[in-house]
Order: sequence, then structure tokens, then C-alpha cells
Amino acid sequence: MSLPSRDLDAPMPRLARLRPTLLLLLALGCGPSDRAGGGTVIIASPADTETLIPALRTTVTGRMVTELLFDQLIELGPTLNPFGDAGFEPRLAARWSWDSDSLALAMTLDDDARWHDGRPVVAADVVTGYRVIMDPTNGSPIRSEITDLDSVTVRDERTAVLHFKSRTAEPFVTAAAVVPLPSHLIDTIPAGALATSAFAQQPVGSGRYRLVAREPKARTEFAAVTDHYRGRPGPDRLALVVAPDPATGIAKLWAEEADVWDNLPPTEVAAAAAHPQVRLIQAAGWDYTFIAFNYRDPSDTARAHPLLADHAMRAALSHAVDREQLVRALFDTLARPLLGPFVRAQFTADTTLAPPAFDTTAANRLLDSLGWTARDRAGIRRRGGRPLRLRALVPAPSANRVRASVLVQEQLRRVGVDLVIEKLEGQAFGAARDAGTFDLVFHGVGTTPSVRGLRTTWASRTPAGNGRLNAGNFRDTTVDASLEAGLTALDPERTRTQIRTAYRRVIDDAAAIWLYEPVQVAGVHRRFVTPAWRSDAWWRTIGEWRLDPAATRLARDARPTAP
Amino acid sequence: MGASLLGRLAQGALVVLFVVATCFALIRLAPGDPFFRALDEASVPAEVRAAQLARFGYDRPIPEQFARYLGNVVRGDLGWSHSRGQPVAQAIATALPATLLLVGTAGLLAFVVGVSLGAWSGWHADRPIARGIDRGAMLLLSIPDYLLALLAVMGPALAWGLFPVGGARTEFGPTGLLGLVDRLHHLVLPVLALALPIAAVVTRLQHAAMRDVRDAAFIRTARANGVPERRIRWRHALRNALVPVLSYGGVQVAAALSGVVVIERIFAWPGMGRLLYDGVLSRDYPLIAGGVLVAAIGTVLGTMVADLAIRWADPRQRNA
Repeated sequence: MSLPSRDLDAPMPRLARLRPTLLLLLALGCGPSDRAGGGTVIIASPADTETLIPALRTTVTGRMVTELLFDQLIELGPTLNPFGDAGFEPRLAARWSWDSDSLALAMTLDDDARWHDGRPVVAADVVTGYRVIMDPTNGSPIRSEITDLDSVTVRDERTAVLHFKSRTAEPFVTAAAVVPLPSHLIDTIPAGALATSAFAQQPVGSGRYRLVAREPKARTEFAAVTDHYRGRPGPDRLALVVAPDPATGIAKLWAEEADVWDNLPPTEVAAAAAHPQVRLIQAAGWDYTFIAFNYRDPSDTARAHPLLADHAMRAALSHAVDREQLVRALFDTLARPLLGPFVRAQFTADTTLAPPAFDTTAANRLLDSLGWTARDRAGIRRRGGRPLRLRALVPAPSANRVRASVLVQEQLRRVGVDLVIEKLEGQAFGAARDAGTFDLVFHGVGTTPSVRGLRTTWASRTPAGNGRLNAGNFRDTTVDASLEAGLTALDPERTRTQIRTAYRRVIDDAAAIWLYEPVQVAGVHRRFVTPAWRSDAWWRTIGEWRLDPAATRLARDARPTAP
Repeated sequence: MGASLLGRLAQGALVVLFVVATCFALIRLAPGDPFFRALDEASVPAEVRAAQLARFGYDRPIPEQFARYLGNVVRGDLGWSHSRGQPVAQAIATALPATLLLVGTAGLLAFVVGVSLGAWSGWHADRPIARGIDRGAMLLLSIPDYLLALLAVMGPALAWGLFPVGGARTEFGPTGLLGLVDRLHHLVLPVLALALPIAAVVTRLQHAAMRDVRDAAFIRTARANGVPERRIRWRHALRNALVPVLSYGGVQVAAALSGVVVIERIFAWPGMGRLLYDGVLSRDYPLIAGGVLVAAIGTVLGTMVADLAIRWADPRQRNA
């Protein structure tokens, strides 16, 4: 690399004149590079992680915390393409290759990868990570995500081999789900005791941050691993601070007591203008909400639903809901009407698909054709002396879904449908949804770049214990076939085509009223310069955050003294 | 006195047992279980869920579970908190001091302010300023505690920057003496939000009691006997007028041990209220049982302390 030429007669640049001072500062450990790195990031969150073990995590906060502590073998990169390995980046595995039978994937570990206690990461640790997931006494929810994996073996100290049952479209999603765990610490824990072990409370990880202290439901503190094989991360310290009341958590961001709140509600986005130290970052959303129709009779799930099993009824109800208006009322511009069982950020998204349009004339015509022609004094349709009344389950803790249900109730009333809203507390809602004792359910789904979750939400036959997310008992052989064809295809384009076919079929069947997919708006303190925001997992780039040299540091940014 | 105290203790133990047993059974009859989130969301095989339930004995009949629980409690084992990933005793040991600090400080402040203002305004009930104090207390009482707390966050904390928004201390803040000051700084708003409504009740109770007592026969007698006015007011009148306040206060402060959920949520204060609230939402059976046990013991002890204080204030109660 050659240096740029410089006019020797020109005055010495100001920087060069300051060189002795800079050298002195560097010697003291506070030079320019030091100023750009370092700092403390406080993440305010309404929820705490439920575990510190990757194999046991179930929530987004759980994903964040465990991914900070533990590196994966490979990680999905910013393209968010889960098919093949083109979209994946090396982490603990420096490289990988398929064996000749195309079923064994050899992962070669990075020579410099170390556990936080200094021991090298070895192939046996990959086996331990797999074993923890598969041991039923641990109750790992990841187990259902790696059903295509047959076993994991050790080829040599630095090479683990993942043996697949068959080739699928997303083998690398599976590989990423098998997070290595330190065999020298885990293998001595009795079966079933992992969740209550000392390791679970003070784990030794391999990520760019190590655990320093934890008070469950209050705070979790992390420190940068300065000699990490991927390089020293930018911020010296992180803290996840739990603020159960979102208003308080967001107020902490405004008051500079926190640096990140990753999902601001629309009302708070408007308030951000009054807090110039906070930068708003908008990103695609991964959650979506829809109203699922129950295809089975709530009083006897062996029978078809007396009203909603009829496509015309479902289509009528879909036509009756003005989704554009609903989205504007709830989110203004911070959400988009949902197109189907996917979000626009997904690799398989098909923006040419369109659910039934808002059309009350069509809705009324369909309802008339079904014999619901008489109306009572309140304008509710009747047939055979019975009112057209449907019962909708709504989770009380979800303010957006509660508000949406009221708007939908009013819109349906206009076409003569009486929607009875049943708001239930979280667990009671889940129990009623799983039991199928409803006509409609306001369903919220958090999705990921992987499409294998479609099996649990829209496929007819799911492995034992699965199927709860298919709350409406949707059954369609075309969808089943398309999903299987897509998820087993080796060509990403073929997978995409098949998955889109399944989407189209679900939409055409009017299986749900597709409501909204909110965009994410994060608030971040301006003193941090952040790389491109990962909409699916923003924390994955937190190691690249840098303090803006031009910005004023806060007291907590002072470099911590060595213990 | 000793026999009476023992009797009260036995009575209290029965109350605690009844409260814990009721909560123990009710939470198990509610929909869901401790593994609702962990094992349902990602569709875990049903046998895994069943194995987990069996491992912790949740598949056994409720009376059997309760008997086992009592046995464990006697041995000092309050069980494992599923939602917090730590022993219940450890979770309570972290949360209880935070709540005691909050409730203790708020209770002390509320009673000192309430009794002082109420006693003065009740004794001088005819003065406009005394009537103003009484009405001010009434006004304060009519503001819901959550609104008061939110106003405290939005005004003094956020808009004026005088106090921290929430939490028990500044993250990565000072240590040592400055750390103590920092903790006190964080304590101010939650204490005020908790203390002001209690102080308002105490003021009104004390005001009414003092006003009634000032014209009582024993006060007139004392005055006729030449007892100094100051002694009449503070020794004779106030001591008698304290009875309803002590009665209210004992229960109120003891109940606050488990009931400051709103304040703890809004100020992100890591205490017993949040512990119990989170426990109920996540159906964390052992955590709920442990929290209720501690709260019930606190309530019983608080009531007993209040009774003792009433006996001190009103000699007639000693033989009751």
C-alpha cells in the first residue's frame, strides 16, 4: 500500500504538528483509536432473558443475550438469505465443506477461538451443544428446529461433522442453531439439571462479551472480551436493564440513562424530536398480526366450524375489514398492511400477492348469499332466528391487538356481524387458543429469515407436540406439498417459488384476515456510530459500534479499570 | 401478656398457612404452568413438557404438592424459580431488602408527616389553614397512585432532570459514599409516590381523631387540674388519637410489602411487588408461594406490631 503524496513545502498538517502530544496520549492509553472505541451501551428492555443458555432460549431478548455470550458456528449475514450457504458468515467455524455423500457437513473451527475461561473451543464442544439440545430432560425448544439433523461427531480436535438425515433447503440454518457449549464444564452436569446448574447462572461463553453480573428481571452486565478471536469489540461494557413499564424504559432513553430502546411505539417516535441526543433508526419488522379463522367447531373440534368452514363466509369477513384504515389508526406510517403469512423482509416475500380488498358491497353480497339477510334493530344479521355472532380471542397484554380488535369489531358491525371480543390474560389466552375454543383469534407471529416455521403455522401434519401455532386448524394438501417441496429443494429459486405457491394458496383460501406488519423504530444515543442496522437481530453488530469522536462522552463511557 | 403473645403468634401462623395454601392451590387451578413460555412457543414435544412437569412434581395432586412444599420450607428450601433461573430464597433475598428500604422509608415519612400535620390541624381544626390541610390531604388522596408515579417520572425526572427516571442505582455509577448518595437519589421519587397517598390518609385520620379528642372529658379534666397545655396536647390527646392511625398504619405498611407493584413497575424498582407480579404472569409456582409466604408473615408481624403499639397508646386495650 503506498502512502498518498504530499507537498513537502506546504505547511505541516495540524495533525502532524500535534504528533508528540498524540504519542504521549497513545502512551497513556487514550489515543484517537481508543476514543473511537470503548464506551458503555445500556440497553433498556421491557423484558429480561429467560435463560443464559442458547439451547434453552425462547424469546427475542433470550436470543440477544445468548448470542452476545455465545458465538454460533456460522451466522446468517445481512442478505438474510437462509438457503444454501451463500448468506452465511464464519464464526466459530472458520470454514466448512460437504462430504461426498452430500449429507455430512464438516465444520472446521477457528484456531484462535477460545472460551471465556481461556480453554480452546474444540469439536467436542459442538457435540455437547447438540447433545444439550437433543436431551429431552433439558426441554430445549431448539430441538424442533433441527429435526433434519441426525447426529454430530468429532472428526478431529478442530473438526466437527454434522450428519443430516437428508438434504434440505436450509441446512445452514440448522448448523447455526447448534451452538457449541464448553464440554469441559457441561459434561459433568447430571441429565436434566442444566437449567438449575451453576453454569446456567454464570455461563462461560465464546462470544465477544462475557457475563459480569446478573440480577434476574433487573439487570445483566457484560464486559468486552478484549482478546476475542474476531477482534476486540467496540463498546467496553454492555448492560441490559429491565424496565417492565415501557413508558419508564423509554423515558430512561430520553433522560440518557439508557442508550438503546429497540422498538419504539408510534407515539414515542413522535416524542423523539424533543430529545436530540437520540437518533431514530427505522428497519423492517419481523412481527406480523392477523386474525385466524377457526376451521373447526369450538364446541367440538372434531367437526367443521358451522360458519367459518365456508370459504364465502371467510371471504365476506375479509372484505369487510378496511386494513389500510386500521393500520393508519394504529400506527400512522409505522406499519404496513400485511400481504399474507410473511413479512416483506423475508427472502421468500412476494409483494405481488394481495389479500381480499376492502369491499363492503362484496361482503354484504356474500353474506346475503349465505342466507344472512334479516337484520335486528341493532343492524346485526340473523338467519333462522339466530344472530350472526362470532367470538374473537384477544390477548389483553397486547395493546395493539386490543385496539385492533375494537376497530375490527366496528367494521364488522357495519356489515351486520356481531363480533364479541374476549380479552384474556397471556396464559389464559394461550390456553383458550390451543384448545380451539374461539371463532377468530387475533394472532401475533414473530418470524425469522428462515421459512421452516411455516410448517408449524400452516401445515396440516406437524411433529408431535407441534401445531399449536396453527390455531385455526388450517388444512390444505396443496400448501403441505408446496412447503415440503420448497423446504427440501436444493435450488434457492425453486424453494422460493414453492414457498410463494404456499403463500398464495393460504391467501386464496381466505384463511385469515391479514392485518399489519409494523416497522421497527429503534432509538439509539447519538454518541454511538452504528453500522447498518440488522432488522432481524440488531445486536449482532453491536461489537462494531464506535463512539463518535465528535460527540460528548457520558460518565459511564470511562474505560473500566482492570479488576 | 406472654400467653397472649403466644396466642397471637399461633393465630398468625394459622393465617399464614391458610393464605399460602389458598394461593398455592389457586395458581395451580389457573390456566398455564411454569413451562408455558419455555416449552410452548417453539412447539416442544408433549413428552418433554410432561417430563419437566414430573421432574418438579407438578403432575402430583395439589395436596401432595403442598405437603411436599411445606416439608421443603421447614428444611429451608423454598424451591427453584423457573422464570428467574435461581433459587427462590435467593430471589427473595435480593428483592426483599429493596422493598423494605422503599416501604420503610415511605412509611416513616408518611407517618411523621401525616401524624404531625393531622395532629396540628385536628387540634386547631377551626383555623382556615387547618381546614386547608385537611382538604389538601383529601385532594392528594383522590389522585391514583399510578398517576402520581407517572407524573413524578414525567415531571421531576424527565422534564426537569432533578431525579433519575427509574432503577435502584445509576448503571456503572459511583461507588462508596457517592454510591450511597446515588442510591438515595434514586429512592426519592418512588418514596414520595408511595408515601404521599399514605400520608394523606394518615393526616385525615389523625386530624379527625385529634379533633374528637380535644373536646373529650379527660382533656377538660386535665386542663382543670392545671396540666400544661403542651403536655395535654402531646401526652394525653395525641396518644389517644394515635390509636386509629396505628391500626391503619400497621396493616398498610405490612400490606405494602407485597402490594407496591405499581410503584415498583413504574420506577423499575427491583422489589417484592415486581417479583410477585412477574411470578404470577409466568406461573412461577415456587416463586409465588415463596413471595406470598414472606408477604403473609410480614403482614401478620406488621399487624402484631401495630397491636402492640395500640396497647402502648391506649392502656384500656392492655386488658382487652
